[in-house]
Amino acid sequence: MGVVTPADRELDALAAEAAPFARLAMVEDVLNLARANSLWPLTFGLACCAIEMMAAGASRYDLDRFGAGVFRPSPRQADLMILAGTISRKMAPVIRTLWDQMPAPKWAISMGGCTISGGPFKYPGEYAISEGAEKFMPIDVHVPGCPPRPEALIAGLLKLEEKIKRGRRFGRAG
Amino acid sequence: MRTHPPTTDPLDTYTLNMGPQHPSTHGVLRLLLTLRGEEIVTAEPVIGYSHRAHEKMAENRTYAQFLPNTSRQDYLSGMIYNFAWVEAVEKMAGIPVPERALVARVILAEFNRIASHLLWIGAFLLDLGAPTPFLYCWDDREAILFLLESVTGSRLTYASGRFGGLARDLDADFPRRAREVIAKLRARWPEYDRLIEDNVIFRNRAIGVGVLTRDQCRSYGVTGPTLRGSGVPYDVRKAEPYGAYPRFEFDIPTRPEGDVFARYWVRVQEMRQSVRIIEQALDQLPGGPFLEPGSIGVKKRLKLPVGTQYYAVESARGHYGILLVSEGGAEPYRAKFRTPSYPNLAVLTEAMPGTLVADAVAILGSTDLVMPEVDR
Amino acid sequence: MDALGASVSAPTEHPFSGAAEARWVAPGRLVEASRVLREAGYFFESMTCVDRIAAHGVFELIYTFNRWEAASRVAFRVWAPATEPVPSISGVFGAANWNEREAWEFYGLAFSGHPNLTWLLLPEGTEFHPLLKSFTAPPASSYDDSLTAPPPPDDAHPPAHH
Ligand code: SF4
Repeated sequence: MGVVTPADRELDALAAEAAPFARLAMVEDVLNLARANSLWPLTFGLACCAIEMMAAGASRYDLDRFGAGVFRPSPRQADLMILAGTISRKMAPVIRTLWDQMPAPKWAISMGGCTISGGPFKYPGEYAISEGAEKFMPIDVHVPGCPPRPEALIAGLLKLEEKIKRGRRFGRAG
Repeated sequence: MRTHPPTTDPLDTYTLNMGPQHPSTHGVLRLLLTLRGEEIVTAEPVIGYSHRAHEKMAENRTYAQFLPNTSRQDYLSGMIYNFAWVEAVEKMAGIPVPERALVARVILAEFNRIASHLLWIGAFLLDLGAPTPFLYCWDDREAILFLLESVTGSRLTYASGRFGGLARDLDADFPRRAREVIAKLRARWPEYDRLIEDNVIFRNRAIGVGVLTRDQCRSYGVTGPTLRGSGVPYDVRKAEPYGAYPRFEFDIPTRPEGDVFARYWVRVQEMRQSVRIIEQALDQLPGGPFLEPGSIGVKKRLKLPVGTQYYAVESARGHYGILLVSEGGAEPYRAKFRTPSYPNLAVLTEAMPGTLVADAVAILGSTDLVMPEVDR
Repeated sequence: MDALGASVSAPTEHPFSGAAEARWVAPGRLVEASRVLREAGYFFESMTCVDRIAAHGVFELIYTFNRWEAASRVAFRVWAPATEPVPSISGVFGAANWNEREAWEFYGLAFSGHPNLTWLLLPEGTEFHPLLKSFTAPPASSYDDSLTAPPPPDDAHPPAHH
């Protein structure tokens, strides 16, 4: 995340050129505000934590209050990946593929000890799991717990919204 | 059910890959379907996407250290799994359990069973395209989780069993709160019947679909509500009574059809039986210690005698067996977990061919799979 | 079942509890013996492989079968030399199919007559048998190679077209 790509540079040049007439940063801010308040998570559960993710979306915790309740079953329609559950060695390449299939801009939350570091299944000599999602994809927010309560996931989501609103390239906007 | 005449031409069929990320595979199951038009010719589950090496871990840690793993095998009925491990070790080591703990375990386990069935009903109907019951079921389920959390401290992955009792006692106010939850559940049942069971769309999608024969069930070792939906009254709580279950009266609901609807109906009836058990248990809840005085607890290293033992309980999904091999050490020499979803999924290789692809989701959902339990 | 002469004398003193009956079965008689149970209305309950290589140079296979009507667990214990394939009973009980594949990938114990003896739970291409007592985990890099490649460039803002 936060890599300055040719696209970014072009945009910057464009903004500098248009500066006397229009403030493009404002457009970006408005876009970010919209993005932050309408996150579409990928329907995607791996293990125990997924149940708490579902609970967060269900009646009592109601993720729709934060604009993030529209779970999409296809990575092409989603812009947020909530990694909830244990990542096995067999599953890791699949997750990477899903992540690559999501259109940018996109964000990822790792929920639970398993996706942060391997959680309770990490021990010297383990052979079955991938020790954390960060080994193969970028993560924006970590939500610790085993499983984290739905409130914790909501807190993580609000943190992510904060990050998006500030512009995802830290140090430039906001 | 056949829509096309059978053919052997390979060009006539095509392969459809469902999963491992698919909204209705309940986690990380992958199904390789060979289709001819809309008809399923073969169905091959590909599993292991959630393999977490529980069995290897069991060999690497002491009996007490393994406690948190148990409820993570099947996180929907984690309490039952947790107590199963505790009871298997108690039985092998000959640790006595006080009366109060025995009855309290039944109460907690049955609440957990109801919570699991409620989640299943919600998720299953969501698969069939009915989002409303999901919201009702989760509301009820949250009430149960709140109650269980007040005793155990966790919502999902319980580790409240101790060798010789429980980690914490049921507080004095618990029976009142439990009865409140039961009243809430009871009030909802007629609504569920009207909303789901009498729903024409649901009935059309469920009745006569995905029939499991008794012989298939026998060959694959299918158990639990999935088996009882095929008319076999097999329930470990009755067949090999354990804990305090022999003291309580309850029936085993069965239905002979063996289709998706039968499996749904059996689970709904089972929740009522669980409530029946809980009410009796609350009435009979004895006083006294909740943990055997001077018992081993979790601190001391427990060593089991040399031998092999098979111990079984009825989880929300069926027969859960623990085969423990001890060589006398502080760790199991081998622990095998015979999980109910494993055969319930394997049988689909025989039950799915001949059905339509639209029914695949209904059949899959009706078996109530928990993938990490299949993969362990 | 006794008429079959399927049981052999116990090769080791290792008590088994939790079953109405536990008997040692010679690998060669396994298929016949399980067919008897199948016809008597038993269902397949579980199958476990235990590594006893260090002590005896063999695997111990434990099959349990049970009945719905009146619970009476029957356990077969098979003393299987590590190098010889065990006859598969997947033709008798469908459930054996997956269980035998699991024993194959976890222990490297082969089954003869199995229709599809491939890895069940482990990723394709795994080259170890993790539940062996002699197993030591290979370094993480041996699986994660495909994943440590640098991610593709961030295409958050596609070039604007003018
Ligand atoms: S962090 Fe804990 S609850 Fe979450 S998937 Fe891992 S084991 Fe399950």
